[in-house]
Amino acid sequence: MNIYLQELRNYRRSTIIWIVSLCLIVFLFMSIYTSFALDVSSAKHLLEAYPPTVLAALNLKIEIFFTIYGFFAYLMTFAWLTAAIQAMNLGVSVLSKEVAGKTADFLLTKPITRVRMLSEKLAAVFTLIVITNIFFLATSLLSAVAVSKGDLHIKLFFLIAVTMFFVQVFFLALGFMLGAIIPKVKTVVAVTLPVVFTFFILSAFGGILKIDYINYLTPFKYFDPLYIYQHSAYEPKYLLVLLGVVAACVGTSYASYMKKDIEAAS
Amino acid sequence: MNVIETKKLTKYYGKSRGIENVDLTVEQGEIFGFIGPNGAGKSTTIRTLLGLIHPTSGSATIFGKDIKEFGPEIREEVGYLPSEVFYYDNMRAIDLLRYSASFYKKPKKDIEKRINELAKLLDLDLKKKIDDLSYGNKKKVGIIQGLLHEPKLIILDEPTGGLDPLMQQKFFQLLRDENKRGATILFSSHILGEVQKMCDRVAIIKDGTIIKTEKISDLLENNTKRFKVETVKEIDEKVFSSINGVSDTVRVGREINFLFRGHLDDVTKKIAELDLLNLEVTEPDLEEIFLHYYK
Repeated sequence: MNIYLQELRNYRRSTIIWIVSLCLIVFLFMSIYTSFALDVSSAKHLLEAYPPTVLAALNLKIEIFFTIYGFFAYLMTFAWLTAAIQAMNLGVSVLSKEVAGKTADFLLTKPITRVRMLSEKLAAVFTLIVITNIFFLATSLLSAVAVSKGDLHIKLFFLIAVTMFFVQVFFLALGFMLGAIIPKVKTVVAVTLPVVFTFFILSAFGGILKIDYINYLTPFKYFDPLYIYQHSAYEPKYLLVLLGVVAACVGTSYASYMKKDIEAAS
Repeated sequence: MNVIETKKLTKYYGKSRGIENVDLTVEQGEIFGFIGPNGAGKSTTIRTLLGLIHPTSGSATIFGKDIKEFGPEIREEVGYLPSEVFYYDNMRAIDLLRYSASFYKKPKKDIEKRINELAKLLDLDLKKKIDDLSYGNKKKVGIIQGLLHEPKLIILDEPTGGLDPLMQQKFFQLLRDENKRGATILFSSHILGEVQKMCDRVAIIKDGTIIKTEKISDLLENNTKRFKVETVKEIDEKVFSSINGVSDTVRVGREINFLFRGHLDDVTKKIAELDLLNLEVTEPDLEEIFLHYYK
C-alpha cells in the first residue's frame, strides 16, 4: 500500500491541474450550448455546405450535432485528446521516472517483489484516472442539466461522457507498457505527444478515407456518437478490442519489467 | 554459517562481460572487503545479489536462501548503500526515510527512534528537502536509509565518496558498531586503505573474475616485503630480478627497489655479497600488493 499512497501523493498536484482544465473545458463549452441551440437552422445550413470529408475529419455527426448529445459528443473529441495525454503521461512516467530519477535502486532494494511494485503503481495511476473521470462526469452532467430544458436523457448522456474513461484506460495501459519497455525515458511528453497525436491523426484519416479497419487501430474511433445515440450502447466489437489491447499492454509491461536489469545509476 | 555464498555467478550484458564464475563466501559476522578497479565487476556482483539484475548463470544464496526465489525475504534483512545516492528530490529527508521505513516489518517506533539517533550522530537536518542537500548530506541520508532497519547484512558499494574525513571516521565507527551488534558487512571499494582498515577478509576482483580471496592479515604478511637496497657502486638490477619471487624491480642510480615474496634467505644471501650503503625492508601496503595482482 505504501507505494500506492506515495504515488497518489506524487501526482496529486498535476492531477488537480488536469481535472480543473478538463472541467473548465466542458463547463465553458456546455455554457455556449444555450445560445447555440437558439440559432440551429442557420448553423445547420452552414454545416451542410461543408464537404462530407471535412465533417468526417472533424468527427462531426451532422445528424445529431444539434442535439445536446451531438454537441457534447463533439466536445468529447477534444476531451478525449486532452485526457489521453493526461493518462499516457501518467502511464509512462509512473515507471520511467524511477529510472530517469535513478531512484529504482532505492525502491527495488526494498523487501518487495517487482509484481507488487508494478501493481501498486498501476493501481495508483488507475485510481487517479478514476478520480479524474468522477470530476469530469459530475461537471459534464451538471452543466448539461443546467443548459438542457429538463429533457436530458441521463443514461445516454452518461454513456457519452464515460467514453473518456475508456479512452484514458487505453492510453494509460499503452503508456505503462512503454514506460516498462523503453530503457530510459528522458522526457515523458516526448513519448506521449507523438503517440497520442498519431492515434488522433489516424482517426481523422479513417474518417476521410472510409477505411473500416483503421477504426480498430485507434481508440478515438471506438465510440461513434451516432451509434451510441441510436443504440444507447457501445459497439461491443470495439469494447472487446479495447479490452484486448489493455490486457496485452499490461501483460507485456509485467513480463518485460520482471526480466529487466536495473542498471547502475551514473 | 555463510551469509553470502555465490557459485559460479555469471552475468553477461548481451555479449559484454559483467562477471564470470564468481565464487564468493562471506561468513557470518565478518567485514568482508571486495576490491578491484572500476569496471572489474564489483557493482555487478552486488546488484545481482540485491536482485536488481538477473544472473546469466550460476547461483547465489544470502542467509542460505536463493536470491532468485526469496528476494523480498532476503532484502528485509539487508541494508544497501550505493556509491551515489539518488532520492525523490521533492521529498524532505525525513519523509524519504519514513517512506523507506514503511517497507520493513520492524516496528515504526523503533525505526523512528533510530532515524533520529543516526541523524544526530551524523549531524543531518532531517527537515531539509532532498533537493537542497549537498552531496555529502545526501550520502548521510543514504547511510541512515541503509541502516534504519538494523539489517543483518550491510552491503556497501564504494560508500565513502562525498564524505569528509571526519564523517568517514564516524561512518566507519558506525559500521564497526553494527558489526559488533552482529551485522555482517560486504564492503566494496577501490580505495585499499579503507578496506585495509575495516575488513577481516578481502576478495580481489579483476576483469569480472575473482583472482584471490584472503585474510587481510595474510595478504599483508605472506612474506611479501619491500626491499630498498642502496649500494656503494652501481650494480645491475638483474642481481635481484633474477631471483625467484622478486618483482617490481626498479633501479634509480645506486638504489634498487623491489618486492619479494618467498624465502628471505634467497635475497639476504645476495645482499650479503654486496657492498651496502643502506638497506630497508618494509611491509608493503595493500596498494602495492594490489597493484601486483593487476599486472
